[in-house]
Amino acid sequence: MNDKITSRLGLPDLGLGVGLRNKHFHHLLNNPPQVDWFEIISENYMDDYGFVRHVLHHVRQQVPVVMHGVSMSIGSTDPLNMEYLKKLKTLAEEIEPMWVSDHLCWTGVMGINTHDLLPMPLTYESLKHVADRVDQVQNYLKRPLILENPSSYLEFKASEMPEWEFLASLAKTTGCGLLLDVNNVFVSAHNHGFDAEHYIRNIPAEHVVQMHIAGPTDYGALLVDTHDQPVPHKVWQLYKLAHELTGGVSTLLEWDANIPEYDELVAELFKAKKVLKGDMGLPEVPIQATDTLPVSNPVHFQLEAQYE
Amino acid sequence: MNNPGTVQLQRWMNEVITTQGNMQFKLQKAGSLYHLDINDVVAETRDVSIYSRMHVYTSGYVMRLFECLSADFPVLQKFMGEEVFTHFANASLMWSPSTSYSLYDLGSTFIRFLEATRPKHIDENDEQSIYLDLPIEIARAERARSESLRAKGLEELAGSQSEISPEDILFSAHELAVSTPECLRLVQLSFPVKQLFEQLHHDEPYEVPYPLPTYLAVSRMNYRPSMLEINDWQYEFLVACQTPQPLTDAINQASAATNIPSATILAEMCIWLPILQSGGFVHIATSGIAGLFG
Repeated sequence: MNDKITSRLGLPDLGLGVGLRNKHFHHLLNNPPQVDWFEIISENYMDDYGFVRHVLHHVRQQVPVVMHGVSMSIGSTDPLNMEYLKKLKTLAEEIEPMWVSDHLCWTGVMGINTHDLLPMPLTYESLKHVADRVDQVQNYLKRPLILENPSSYLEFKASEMPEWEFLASLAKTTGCGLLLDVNNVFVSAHNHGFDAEHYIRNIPAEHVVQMHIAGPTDYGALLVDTHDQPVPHKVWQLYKLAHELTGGVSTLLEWDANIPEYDELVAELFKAKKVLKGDMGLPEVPIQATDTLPVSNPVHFQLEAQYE
Repeated sequence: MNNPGTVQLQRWMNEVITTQGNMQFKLQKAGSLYHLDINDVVAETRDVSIYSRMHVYTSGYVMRLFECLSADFPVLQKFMGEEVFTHFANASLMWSPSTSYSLYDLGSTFIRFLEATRPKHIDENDEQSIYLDLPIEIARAERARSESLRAKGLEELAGSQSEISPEDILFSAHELAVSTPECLRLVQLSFPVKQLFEQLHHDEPYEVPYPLPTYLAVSRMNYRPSMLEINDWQYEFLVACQTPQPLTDAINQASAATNIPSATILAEMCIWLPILQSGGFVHIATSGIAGLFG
């Protein structure tokens, strides 16, 4: 029996991938993808049967695709949105993604969607609440749900455990997978003053199905998750640690604002190859600073896309 | 006090984020509704104030959603100017927060906001009314265009459709069946906005049109948008085509709605139907109604 496969919920290591973004659609229609797989933002494709769907089918015929959502709101105390889940399932049946992921967060209550990835109070009560909902979603989708640790800017006084303990319990209770965003760990560790390495060492590696890497923005005392610049050296270091602990899982570079040309994007992703070989001799990439508060937790809205 | 539960904490934070006003007002309102004070809710860690931490979420909420509206209405933004557009877009977000899983639905709320907040007591003949109504009409045209780009089109049928000729229409109309694709949008407007829309889109000089009841048909072919200003019988014909039916029936329906003889419309079709077909406004089957579903 292959321990690596069973420890990943039967989900394979896809290699290195990037997000499918409309800036690169025309390039991808005329050139090979170069990467091993793509991640799509589920909500951007659910109700769009135009050019974006055409491009999605085009790349899906070449490489695996993973569906990553931003509106499941698994932590919300509102009822689960069954209309949303139905559309998610329908898209999954059409695209046949390798897996479906979202975030450990809530996006709104009282029927409102703030379209932000809001932090959970990390209590035993909320853990049970989220675990019950993960069970419901997994039963409905008939596949494991993969949940990502979000970046956060505040912690609740009511919290009774650190985020890594919450995620570990959730994964063990529900059997869900984890999407370990090492950049989010880096951002939250900076913002709340915890040890990022300690966080990563305490995440159950056998549940980690995928990793995200990205570049944040320095906004004075806080780091903000902006996905708009190269991966900084410290995030690569955390990625190397996570890689060693997990034995290697699918890795995705997130870049959602100031998106570079496709070749530059792929070159940034392929730095991971050097890191995976133990070569940390990457050039020092500083975290860009700003005096103006940038948009946190980018939700990857697709601008209008049409064939040109 | 007892630790607040998840329900109370989420409702409080939801209120702080979505309430209009400065941080003090937001916290005051959320506090009075849910009996929580930020000092009892947000943990103090490091040397960052709890207000700065909350500010990341409150300002991010508006900026994130504004970016989406800005992306959805680039033409309207050019017409209004950035400052005015920003004012209206931000007001719209506070007027009616999103209740959809999709950011795309913000756009329809924005149009409802523009319609609902238009001053009601302005004389239609007053030039001021142009500047109140025209942005709404541009927004409706722009929304129709983006909806058309996202809906199911005729691309999968490309290649299986043969080009229709005037002879087909004149001598074999009874064998032709027509329908419209899901990506067709028919809009009734109070201004002829097509030329203005295209000039704004291409950053060309433009003149503001005068009010004139106008029908606009929006569709796409090969993922390229197409927009036509049409007259009343053309509008009625496309409305008829939304129910798949023989060409002659659709012509008769347009005729009945406009009192224009069917023969006149049939003659006009020789020129117009090929235009509709090439622009993706209609699907034509040469083997009768069954051909539309084959």
